[in-house]
Amino acid sequence: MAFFAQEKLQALMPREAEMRLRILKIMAAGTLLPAALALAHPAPAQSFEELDLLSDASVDEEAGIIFARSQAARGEWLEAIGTLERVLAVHPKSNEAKRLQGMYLCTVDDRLGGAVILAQLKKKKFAKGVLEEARATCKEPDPVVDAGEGAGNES
Amino acid sequence: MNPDLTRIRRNVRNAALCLATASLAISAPLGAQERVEVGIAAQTAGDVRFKQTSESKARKIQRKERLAWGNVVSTKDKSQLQILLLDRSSVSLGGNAQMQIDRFVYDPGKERSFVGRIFKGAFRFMSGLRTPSSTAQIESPSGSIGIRGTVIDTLVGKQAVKVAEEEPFIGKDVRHDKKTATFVLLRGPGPQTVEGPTPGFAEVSAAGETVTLDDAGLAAYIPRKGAAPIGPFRITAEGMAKVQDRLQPRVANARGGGGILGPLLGIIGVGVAAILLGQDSDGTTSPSADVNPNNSDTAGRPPIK
Repeated sequence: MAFFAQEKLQALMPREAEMRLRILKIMAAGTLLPAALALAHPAPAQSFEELDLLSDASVDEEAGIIFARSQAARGEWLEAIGTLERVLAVHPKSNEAKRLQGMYLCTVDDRLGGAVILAQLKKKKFAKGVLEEARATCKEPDPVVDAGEGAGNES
Repeated sequence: MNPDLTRIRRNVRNAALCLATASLAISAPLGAQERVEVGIAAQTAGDVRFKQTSESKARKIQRKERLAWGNVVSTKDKSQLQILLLDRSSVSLGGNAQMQIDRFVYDPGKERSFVGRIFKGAFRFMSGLRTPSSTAQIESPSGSIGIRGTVIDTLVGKQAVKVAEEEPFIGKDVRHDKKTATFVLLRGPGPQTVEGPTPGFAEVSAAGETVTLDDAGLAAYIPRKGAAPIGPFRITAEGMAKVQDRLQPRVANARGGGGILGPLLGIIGVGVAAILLGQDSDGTTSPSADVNPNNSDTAGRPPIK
């Protein structure tokens, strides 16, 4: 089984393979090895088993985020937003999932929706410049966002 | 045996079975038809229930539970559900929501059609894999929404009224019905999408009139059964935040509900709106500002009384 997964990975683009390998490691560390192996080879979800795997992929916060990134890397922006929705349903305090959700919304031209989400995040929860870059993607006016910093009660 | 080949064969068999079952169901009268499974409960949080046509009482839904034609799904306060359909379209429900899956037909590479009804609460439909013919039709108590390859948010009932009442475009002289009011918001993909999905649109129809939403951030509102839709108009940042919170109540709850963020979002909205209207960095406004649908002087708003 492990050889099968590795073989699939070699056929993918290097960056994508790296992300998928990380998903494999995270999921294999838990109890989601079958899901991890299947995700090593993306395919259109046309069976219930594949839908199950997509569902499994967003149970764990980190694995879900990595999976969403891999979908985004393939240009599957709407699927990536859907994955992050699932992650946030069970990990509602995940700042990284929220940041990506905001960025991906902006990518599909929902700039107001993205800006609203990014405005609710706090700079101190991210590495220097990360949130600023995300906000710049949405092109919301920085001074206003800076003024709104921390207005929510998010922990 | 080659595991790849096995998987492909299984997929083809499943897709064929799905189509065959769907065809049978179309030709058979309701009640005598077979169970037509169309997707799964991809994520559940809080108290989420569903009722099959053969059951009299709703029961709690489990993640990965199969959903079928005729199933009614509902959520309690601060609960969420995301349904993944076979074509990877997703249907999300926020808290205190209820909807029914009427029909879903998917022929991979050829067509997809979804028909559902939303009775109350917040609902998001997000289109999945592209097919030459992809349609979705959502019925609400006061109108219908036709969706073509896009992301659409819909609020029905009290939640719709609460958002609409604060939108300047709607005004104060509108009579709302807290059971049938329907608020529809197009989220994207818009014309400036970086890559991948192509822009879609939605048509909101009621009382013989139709409002077309063809840009992210445009909204329409049906205040009650029998009234024509109001719009299109560009939603405010505050309104957007409220819609977002209705769809993701657990995120809103974790954040503390928004608090004083609302007024600040209003200010952000002005800035973002300026960008969307084409205001240049030096403060001048491009001609595209003339087509602002939020400008009450230029919008074709139907009479509402």
